[in-house]
Amino acid sequence: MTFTKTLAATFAALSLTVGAAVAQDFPTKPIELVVPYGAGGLTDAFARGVAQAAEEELGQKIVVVNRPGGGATIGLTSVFAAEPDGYTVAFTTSSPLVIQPLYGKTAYKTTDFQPILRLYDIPVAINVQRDSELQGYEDWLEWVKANPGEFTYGTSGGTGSGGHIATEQLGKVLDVDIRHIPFEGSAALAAAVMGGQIKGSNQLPNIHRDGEIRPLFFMSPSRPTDAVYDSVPTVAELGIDAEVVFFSGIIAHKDVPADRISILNDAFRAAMDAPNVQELFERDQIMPDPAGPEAFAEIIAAASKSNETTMREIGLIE
Amino acid sequence: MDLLANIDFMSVVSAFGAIMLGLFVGMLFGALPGLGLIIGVTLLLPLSYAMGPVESILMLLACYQGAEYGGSISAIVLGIPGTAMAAPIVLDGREMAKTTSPGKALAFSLYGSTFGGIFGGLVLIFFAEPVARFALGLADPEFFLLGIIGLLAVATFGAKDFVKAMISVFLGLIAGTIGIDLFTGMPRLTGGYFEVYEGLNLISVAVGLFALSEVFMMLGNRMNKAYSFDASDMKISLTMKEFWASLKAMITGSAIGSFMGVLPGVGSTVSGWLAYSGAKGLSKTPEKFGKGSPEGIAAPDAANNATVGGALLPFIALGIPGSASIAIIAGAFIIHGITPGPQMIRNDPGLIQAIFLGFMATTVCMFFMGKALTTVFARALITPNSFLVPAILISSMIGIYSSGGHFFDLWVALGLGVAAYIMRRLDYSVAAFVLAMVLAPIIEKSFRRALVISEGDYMTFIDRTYSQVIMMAIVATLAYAVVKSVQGRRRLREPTAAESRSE
Repeated sequence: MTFTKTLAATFAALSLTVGAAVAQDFPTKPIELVVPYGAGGLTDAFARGVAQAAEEELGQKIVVVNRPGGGATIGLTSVFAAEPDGYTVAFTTSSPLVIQPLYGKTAYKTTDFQPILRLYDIPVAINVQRDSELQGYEDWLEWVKANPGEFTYGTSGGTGSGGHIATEQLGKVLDVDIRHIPFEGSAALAAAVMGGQIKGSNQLPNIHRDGEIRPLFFMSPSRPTDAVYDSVPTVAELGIDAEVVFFSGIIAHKDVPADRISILNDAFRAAMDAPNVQELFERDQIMPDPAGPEAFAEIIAAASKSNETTMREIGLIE
Repeated sequence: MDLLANIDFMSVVSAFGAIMLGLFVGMLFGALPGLGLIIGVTLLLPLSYAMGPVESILMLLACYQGAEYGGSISAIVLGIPGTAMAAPIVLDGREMAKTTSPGKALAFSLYGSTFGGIFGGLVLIFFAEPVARFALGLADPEFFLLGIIGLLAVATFGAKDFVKAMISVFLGLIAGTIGIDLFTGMPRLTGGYFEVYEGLNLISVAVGLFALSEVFMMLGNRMNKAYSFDASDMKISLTMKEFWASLKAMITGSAIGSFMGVLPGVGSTVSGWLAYSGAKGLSKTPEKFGKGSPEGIAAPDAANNATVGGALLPFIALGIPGSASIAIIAGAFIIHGITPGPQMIRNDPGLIQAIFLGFMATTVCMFFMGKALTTVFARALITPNSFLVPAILISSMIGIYSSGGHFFDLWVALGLGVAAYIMRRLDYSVAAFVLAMVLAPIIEKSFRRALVISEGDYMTFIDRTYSQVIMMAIVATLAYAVVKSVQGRRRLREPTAAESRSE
């Protein structure tokens, strides 16, 4: 441990002195961007879009590699096991980085990675069916207090997933009794809300697409960009201490030299403004929200800490 | 005016080209073991950036249709279902190809697929909204009961040894529980391997059980053996009489397929099996099932292709993708800025009409393309095994690896292949294993979730109207089966004398 630390420190010192020289040496070969999910999803689309745009910045090819499975931990494990030279990085979501390691089964810990760039947060809300009598947060809170254990909310990830942990945290903070119903994917979840099998859900709402998943309030700091959501409050605006950040961003092994991180950060940051990436943000109703290595590190640390507390409280970990 | 006519002509031509491309890729990927529908659709998706919305959507739908049929080609010709959906077709398709005529077997499959495709399309065009609404009313208690009906289908496979069939079912059910438990978040039977946290990879399971075990069977026989048939036996066509005789099975299969397709997450892998047992139950000659019955081919094939229209239905009507493939095809809609759901029907009726028309055209094109291409595929039958074995192995390995990018899945397939080879030599049913494995998650999750929602009240399974109807269907099926078997035994005693005289 001390040895690696010393090594890292030496590296950092070296890279500081010869920073400029090293900077031109990187990257000299194609970079692998690991996506811990299958091709075709939201994360994959953004990873490919950003990779394409960042190639021009770096003057090197960026190869997107899909390594799905194991709750997205397989992809991160492969980045952790790769040479920490900055040529293998991951485009990750929050779950494999700040939830899965807490169960203690992954080969890596959250702190085994260092952040390069947070690109966006996925907005999530507590939703009801469009025609529900519950119009907003106050309605909901009153109903939930009057009917303890009656508000069933679904998540698409199951017990122990980000949506479950976040909503349980909400229940604790508000001191209300709500019940989690796990689903195996967002299509089945949406159908259950629309069919009235469950009262609500923690997911991305879709009334901007004329859908039937209507938000009561957002648990994320941001809302989807469509104007239809402008009047829906966030938990922060309501003064509830249960904000959840489902970030998506690029990370690398903790031992990658700082100057390489900064080169990668510059390139990916610039790629976010490329037209093809902007188009993705618009298409998926996501607000671009870049955060550099330091800011992203704080977000990760805070999310990990809050998850650990809640998971302990609801008995997911000891 | 002239210009308009020109544009229409050009767009019809380009749509036709897109459909043909989609069909070809679909059939090819469907027929190659391991490489399936999802890989085909994913490969074609980037092309859709460069195409118009109608063309790209039709191309992907054509690929979906083509793959559903393509999987049956290899099921019939090699005894290896090209896709997991085509597994039920092996039972009778392989038998008919070996004993009677491969051309006829492929024809029943192609006619069934086409019929199912058209049926699913018509349901989609005329009943999208009401059927989607109806399906939303179905919930976990019903899914659980449907899963049980699916398991009962095992009884129709005509297993020689009931106890062995039950052992296969139980092993399949156990295999279906591998992975993270949705309700507790705990890993089950994973042996510490992260690769199986999301369950066994269905592609490596299907390849292992069917393709690899068949390869081992081939290796156990003479390697240079090849079947020989007259050219006339390779002709892919049906007489009117044959078509009429299998029409009932096609209708049964289509109805089951389009219905199952509508239910999100339950659909396509199960519908073929249900169609097979449904057609057997309604058949005048159920004793022929498993021995090369035309109905046993036509029904699951019709169901598989009817699933396409069915799965598209909740997507177009409500914006909920009914299957994994539709979820990928949804990407093409979004790329072109089309938002699926009720507003699409309202805002863009022209586009919907074009998709509907194109969807029907896809099915018709599949029929002709199938007729032309299948003859080529069927040549595999007269190819010696020494050529087939390496080709099947390469396709299988590429397919498995590209589906998840894990070498681990190749080992799973090899292990299951060896196990399936032993199972087949000892007369255990591989089909029963697979069916149980795909049904296990549906049965377990819906059972547990129904109880979680009802807070442990078992009445939830019987106090809903929908579940009562399904419950009655289950009881009726069981009663019917009992009566049939009693009758069958009685009949068996009498005509055996007559049969032995004629032989």
